[in-house]
Amino acid sequence: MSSPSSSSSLSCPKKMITLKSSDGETFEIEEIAALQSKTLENMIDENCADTPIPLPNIEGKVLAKVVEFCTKHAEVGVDAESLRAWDDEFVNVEHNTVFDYILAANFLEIPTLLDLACRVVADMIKGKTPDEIRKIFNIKPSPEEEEEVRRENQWAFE
Amino acid sequence: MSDLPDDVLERIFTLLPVKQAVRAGVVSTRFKRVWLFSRKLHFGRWFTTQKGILEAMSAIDHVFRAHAGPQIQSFKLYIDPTDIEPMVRKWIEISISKGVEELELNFVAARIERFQLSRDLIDVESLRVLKLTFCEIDFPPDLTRLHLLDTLILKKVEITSDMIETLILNCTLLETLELVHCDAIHQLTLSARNHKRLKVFKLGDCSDLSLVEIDAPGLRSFHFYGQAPLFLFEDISQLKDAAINFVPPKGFMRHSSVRNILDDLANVSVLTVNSIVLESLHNHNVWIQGISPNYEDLKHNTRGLPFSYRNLKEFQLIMHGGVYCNTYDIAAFLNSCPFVEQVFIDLNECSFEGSIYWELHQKQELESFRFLCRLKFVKVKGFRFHQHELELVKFFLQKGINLETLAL
Repeated sequence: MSSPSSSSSLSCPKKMITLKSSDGETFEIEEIAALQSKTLENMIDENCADTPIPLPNIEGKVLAKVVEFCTKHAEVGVDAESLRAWDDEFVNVEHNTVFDYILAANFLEIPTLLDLACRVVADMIKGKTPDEIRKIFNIKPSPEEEEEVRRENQWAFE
Repeated sequence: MSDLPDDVLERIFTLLPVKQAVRAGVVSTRFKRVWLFSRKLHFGRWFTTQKGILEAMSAIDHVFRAHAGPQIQSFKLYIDPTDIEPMVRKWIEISISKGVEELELNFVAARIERFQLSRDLIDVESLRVLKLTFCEIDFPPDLTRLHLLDTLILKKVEITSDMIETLILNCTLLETLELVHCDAIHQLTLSARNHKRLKVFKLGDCSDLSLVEIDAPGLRSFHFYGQAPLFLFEDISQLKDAAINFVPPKGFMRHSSVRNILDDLANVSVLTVNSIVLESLHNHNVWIQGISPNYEDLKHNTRGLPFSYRNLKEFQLIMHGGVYCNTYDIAAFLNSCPFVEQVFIDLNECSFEGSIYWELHQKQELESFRFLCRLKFVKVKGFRFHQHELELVKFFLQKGINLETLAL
């Protein structure tokens, strides 16, 4: 889809994909950046990406950040160290926001963002008791099971 | 906040160190077996010493046998390997077969003999971080697979300088190199012209070290602790942070060599030294020691140092190892650092010598020293309101005209 007079890829108009959030906002993302999402990659391959893609699970403000992440990770010439630093800053946000990133990355199948956000949550729950973990993730407890696990794996409990 | 789906929670739990992953399994039966896929198998000092060796060993073995996941990202172990070497080797092999990236093995608890690491346990493609304490490595003459290593920390390891140089040659992505208490190294050449990533080099307590040669254009940070060897710096143009802590030698200190080292390091922005380094810079201390100085030392008078630390922003001094270092030595050094912004001094329960020389000569000379216009922050740790400590503080208040914080 390049214009006839273009000689280098830089003068090629970049192919953009439009994404639509649950609250009706639209976001443009370069195709190259969108390829980081397996879900979007499939859609592009099957030519479903010419019209705005609705993402009913993802809010506008979260989608904006996801687009930012994918665009940054698609950039060329960024060295590993500064990318790592950028990533650390990116997830330096409230816990709820990290959860939103996880859900979005899971839905869109973006392994880099998913791993990054999951690591943050893993660090968050590292020292917590089972009860505290249940509270964070809203999991219902069942005491009989707890006893069973404790018994089977005594070595992990003092 | 919506609930995270199970597969995501599982993913999160596999990133926990295995012990905590088991505990997380208590959270709900859905996650009971998640720890089997844990990617971080960490068995630290507390774990292995609290329970007794047999219990710890069977627990670790159980984890490795039961491990069902495809990947082990990191394996960290602190244990006394005496009599259980084959088991420990098996655990390392399993970790390697599952693509281990970070291997941290601390065998300092071994009573007498060092653990032997065969070459196949080292020459591993997936390794990024290798930290070993108290072992012996059977090094191959060339490493065919270990080239993605970015961090290497060896403590109390029997390794010769040839082996180090082979390692460095093969691991071009090396970022951090730390060698502590490696007594088999006599002369070390850090030839890192092609190592754009090598940023941190720490050398400590290698008792037999007589020569250190560093040619590392990308090096940012160099820390040294131990008896002063001969230093040869070829290219350290990017060095920003240097720490030199010398242990008092058995003979006497070669002051000119200390001056040469400090001269070579004149471009750093952060410098940490201990008092023996500082007092070696000045002649008057040589006289006090009763040793006649050589001609080199006589060329420099007590007024100023021949070099100036124009890039120095942060200066740290640990009062350790020196005998005569006093306020004058500190002041004279700072006089060569016109742009210093932060100063940290750890008095470490040392008191300054209240010599007559200080009273009659040095104190007056302080008046003529320059103002430290950029100095904003001074911290003196271990301050006990002694007379000479107060004189030090007075110096800072006098010369630090833009001082914002003085912490005692």
